[in-house]
Amino acid sequence: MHAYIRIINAYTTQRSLIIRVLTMPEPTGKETTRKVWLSIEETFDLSLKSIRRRPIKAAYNIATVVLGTSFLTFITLASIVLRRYTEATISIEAYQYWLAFISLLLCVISITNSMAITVLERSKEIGIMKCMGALDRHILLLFFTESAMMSLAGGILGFLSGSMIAMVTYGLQLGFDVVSKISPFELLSLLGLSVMVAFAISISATMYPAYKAAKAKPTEAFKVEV
Amino acid sequence: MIKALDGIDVRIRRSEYISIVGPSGSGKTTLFNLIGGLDRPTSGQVFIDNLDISKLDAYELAWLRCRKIGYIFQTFNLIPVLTSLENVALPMIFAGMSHEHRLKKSTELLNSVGLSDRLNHKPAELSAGQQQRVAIARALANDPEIVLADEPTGNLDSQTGHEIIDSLNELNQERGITVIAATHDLGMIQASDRIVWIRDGKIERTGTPNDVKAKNT
Repeated sequence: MHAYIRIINAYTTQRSLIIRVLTMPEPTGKETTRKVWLSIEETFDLSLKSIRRRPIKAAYNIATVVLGTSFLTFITLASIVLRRYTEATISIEAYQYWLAFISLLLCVISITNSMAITVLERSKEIGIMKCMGALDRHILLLFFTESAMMSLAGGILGFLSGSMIAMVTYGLQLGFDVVSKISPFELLSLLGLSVMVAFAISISATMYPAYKAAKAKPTEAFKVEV
Repeated sequence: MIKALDGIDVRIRRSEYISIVGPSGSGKTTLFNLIGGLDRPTSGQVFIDNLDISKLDAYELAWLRCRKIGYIFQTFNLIPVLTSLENVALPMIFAGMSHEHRLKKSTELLNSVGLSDRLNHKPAELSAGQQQRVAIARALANDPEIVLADEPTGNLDSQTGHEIIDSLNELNQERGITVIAATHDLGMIQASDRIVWIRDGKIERTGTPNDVKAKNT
C-alpha cells in the first residue's frame, strides 16, 4: 500500500481494459485494517427502524404469523383440555392437525410472497448499502433479524389470541372450572411452541428472498423500478 | 460480442479533478462501476493505490467501497425511510464507528453542506438540490480519497447545479480528494483539471478545459 506508484507500462493487448487510478500513499503511513462491520446492536437498530417505517407491511406479516400460530395454539390447547380434563368423549381429530399444518404452510407461502415484494421494493436500498460497504451477509442478517422480530411479535400475539379463544370456547362449553385446571407450565410451553413455530415459519419464508437480495449486484439493484 | 469498454487506459493522480464526457451508451457508467468496485472487468485491471481492485474478494471490495470511495449519483440514491443524519451516518456504521462519533460527524458534514436545519428531514421532505447535498455529505462520511460522481447535476436546475459544482470543487481543492465525474454539464467540465472524452467504449481524446473553450469559439 505504501510504495510510491510507478506509471505502469505493461498494457499490451488492445482488447484488454486497463484503468490506472493512481493515488499517492497515505501521508500518515498507517495501515488501516481492511475491515467492515455491522454489530449486533446496529443490526437490531436498523431492523427495528425498517419495521417501524413500514408499519403496514409489518402488520401484514405479523398478522399472517398470528393467524397460523393462533390456530395451532387453539388446537393444541383444545386437545389438552379435552384429553386431560374431560372424559374424552370429544377429541381433536387428526384432520384438525392437518388443518393446522396446512394453515402454517399457507403462512409460509404468504410471507415468502410478501418478503419477495419487500426485497423488490427495497432493492435500491440494498444497492445503496452495498455501495456504502455492506457485505452480502450483512444484508442477509438485516432481513433475517427483521423477520425474526416480526415472528416474535406474531408468535406471542398468536399464542395470546389462540389460547384466549380456546379458553373462552371450552369455558362456555365445559365450564370454566375445567379451563382453570390448565397449568401455567402448560401455557408457558404453548407460548414457547407458538414462538418457535412462528420463528420457523418466518425464517423459512425469508430465506429465498433474502438470499436473492444479498446476492444482487449493486449496479443491478439500482436499475429495479417498482 | 459487444464490449462496453475496450482498450481503455486512464491514469488518474491523487487530488486530480477529472471529467468524463461522452454520449449516453458510450460506456461512462461502466467505467464508473469499474473504478468504484461495483463491477469487474472481463479482462484487464483496475488499480487504486498499488492495489488491483479487480482481484479483490467480496470482503476487500466492501472495505474499499466503504473507506476509499464516496459515491454521488444522478438520482441521489438516498434511503427514503432514513433521515438526512441517518443517511449520512450509514457508511460510518460499516466502518465500525461508535454511535456518538457518527452523530457528531454526520452533523458536522451536514453543516458543512449547509443543511444544519434539515438534519431530521427525510429525503422526500427535501428539495432535489438539498438531497444531492445530503448525498455529498454521505460520500464524505468515511473520508474517502476518491469521490465518484455520476452526472451529479443531471437532475438539477442550473442554479442548484452550480451549488453542487462548487461543493465538489471545494472538496477537491480543500480536502485534496480525487474527483472523478461523469457529466454533460459545461460548468463541471470547466471546473475540472482534465477531461476524458469517451465514445463507443474507447477513449476518443483527453484534454483540458481550455481545449473545450478553443473548440467552442
